Amino acid sequence: MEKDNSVKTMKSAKTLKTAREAGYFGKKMLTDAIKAQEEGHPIGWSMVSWWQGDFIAKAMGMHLVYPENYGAFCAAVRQAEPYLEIADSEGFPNNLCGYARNCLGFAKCLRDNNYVIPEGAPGGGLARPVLMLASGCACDARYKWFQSLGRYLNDVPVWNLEMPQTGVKEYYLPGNKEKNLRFIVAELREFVKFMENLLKKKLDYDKLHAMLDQALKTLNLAWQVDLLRRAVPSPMVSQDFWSVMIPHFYLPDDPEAYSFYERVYAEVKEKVDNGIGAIPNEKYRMMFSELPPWHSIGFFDELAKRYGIAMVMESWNYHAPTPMAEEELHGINDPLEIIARLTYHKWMEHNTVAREFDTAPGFFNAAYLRWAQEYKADGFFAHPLLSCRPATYTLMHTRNSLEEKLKVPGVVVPGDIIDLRVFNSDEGFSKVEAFVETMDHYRELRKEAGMAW
Amino acid sequence: MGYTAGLDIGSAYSKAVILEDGELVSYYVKPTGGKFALSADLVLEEALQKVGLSLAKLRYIGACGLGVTFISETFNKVTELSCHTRGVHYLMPTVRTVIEIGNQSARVMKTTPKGKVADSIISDKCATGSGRIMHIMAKVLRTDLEDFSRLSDKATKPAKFTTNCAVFLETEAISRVAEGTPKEDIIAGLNQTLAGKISAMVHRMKIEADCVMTGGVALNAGLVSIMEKELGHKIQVPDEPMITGAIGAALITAEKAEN
Repeated sequence: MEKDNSVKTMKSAKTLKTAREAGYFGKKMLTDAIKAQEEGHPIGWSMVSWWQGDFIAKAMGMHLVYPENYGAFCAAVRQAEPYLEIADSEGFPNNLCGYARNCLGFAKCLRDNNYVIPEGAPGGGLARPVLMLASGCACDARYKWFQSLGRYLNDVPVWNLEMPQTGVKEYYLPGNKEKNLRFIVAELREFVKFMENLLKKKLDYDKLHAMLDQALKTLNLAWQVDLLRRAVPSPMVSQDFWSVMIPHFYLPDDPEAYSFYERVYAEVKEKVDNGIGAIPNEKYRMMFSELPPWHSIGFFDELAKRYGIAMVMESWNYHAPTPMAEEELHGINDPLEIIARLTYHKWMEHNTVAREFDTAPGFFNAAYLRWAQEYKADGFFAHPLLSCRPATYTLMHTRNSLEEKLKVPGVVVPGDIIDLRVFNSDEGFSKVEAFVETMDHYRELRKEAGMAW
Repeated sequence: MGYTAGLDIGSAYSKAVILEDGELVSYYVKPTGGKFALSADLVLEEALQKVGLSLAKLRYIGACGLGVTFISETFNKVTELSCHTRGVHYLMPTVRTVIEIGNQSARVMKTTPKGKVADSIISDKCATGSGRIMHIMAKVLRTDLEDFSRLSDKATKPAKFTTNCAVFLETEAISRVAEGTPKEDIIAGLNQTLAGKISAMVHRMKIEADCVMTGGVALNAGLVSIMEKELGHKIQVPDEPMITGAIGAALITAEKAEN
């Protein structure tokens, strides 16, 4: 009898045609980098930095690949386990970041294969970098991740970009914003100097400016898609978003990403105009937080099928920010300052809501208080991650805040972004089945309280 | 409505109830013994026999529990959390907080005035937060679980455990036995460890109104007493705390079928 070597996945069917096409962008990043390397262009491994460093590196001719995205990709095709096991055998504890462990396992394979991508690497693999661009945003674990990669890529420099992530009260201190922006711009200037030295070429500021213009247009369009999702029934669900997000999150400066979002917008708009929901028979609208179980996105298809649950909005940090006010960019000609303002705005934009509800932090928390109302959420799906501390720190606080302040209850289903061994879908279904009763109960409470949904 | 059966096939105990027009007329509880299919058949048969009924008289069967898929009869599967809140509401309508400690996990649930799940927390996958640790300790101490409550009452100096892990708790307990610590003190110390862990869950949920403890662990009065002190709240225990899930399964199934 032949051995079945196929990998069993729990992929989502996705409801949008454009979402089913979005995988192209993930593969494009990987294959473009491999091709670029063959042509002698420099490759960078970049953490998600909320666009702080990406544009500068790209404007200088560097091709970026994103190990975090690669981790999600490996998990989605259920091929992360071999890298996790290699990381385990190298002595990295299994409660470290799943993305990091996947990347460390891959990096060891790369080194062991004399820096030629090993055959069969998912998606073609990550090309060998000349730079590792790290970020202090969001996550403490990331500080050590790229440093640890020195074990396998010891001639590759690591540059860490910083950004102040202040509390809500500090945000409103006089002069705080200007000081923070000055800090970020100074960081970027140092980074430009470093890059010019590394690549022996000057940054083309006009090119950078043009890329930024394109990126802001793409982000604006992605945000408009989010606005359409407020419709009842929801025209697009999280299962779609997790694919659709790739172009705006990683490639907003790419004109192809903009064209893609035009098509996404048109598809979603048509559904809204015709009252077509992403899932048939939408009964409950839930928000999701934080990172999803990439290996089991189909779990949410099953929730839709069994209980009529539409995941109408999800984790704030992967969404395009609201467009910046005109005065924010008026008279700003330095592209480094535009970048600083964009990244800062992304992180601080929910502080108004945080102040209104007297809650902190503004990021990782307040966005859901805003969205619960705007997206008429019945419930909150909290997904604590075994290997992601930052995503989990505030999760219970957010759950409690939503319940106390807006009578939106939450259900907690633990798992992991990468490690499918700790995700129990049956237990998840069982919890959600009971949670349906909870959402019914809170609907009645909101009605009694005269709330709008 | 006629007769409805409810089954809760747990990893440690199987339970069956028979309702006649919504009234509890019979129940039966027995250890599962690792044989889900056999014990499911047996408890149902025994519960039916107690009221002189045959299987053919049942209109519906509702079921929940870890071993639910092993039930040989046609049945309606119901989620456990809903079964427990509904079952508790049936027995004690004023209760709004349910602490259910079974062999696999501990669950804290808030119920609506109609007995539906208003909120819930389930313990981590850890034997120390469930009744499983009681079984482990009973073996170590060569004592029947039924005696835990009585022995705990006699403790003079509850043993201190330094770990929250069942594996190491077992090791520590063996050390205490070797040192000559009386089993009464070991059991009392274990009750305190378990109570501390579960009380933290209850605090997270914020206890409301009348509170009940169900599941096999509720038979351990020593633990209930420590929990009451930890929580500063009276905890009620039904006469038969293991059958609430089965009652809920029967009620929900009958309601669903009738509507």
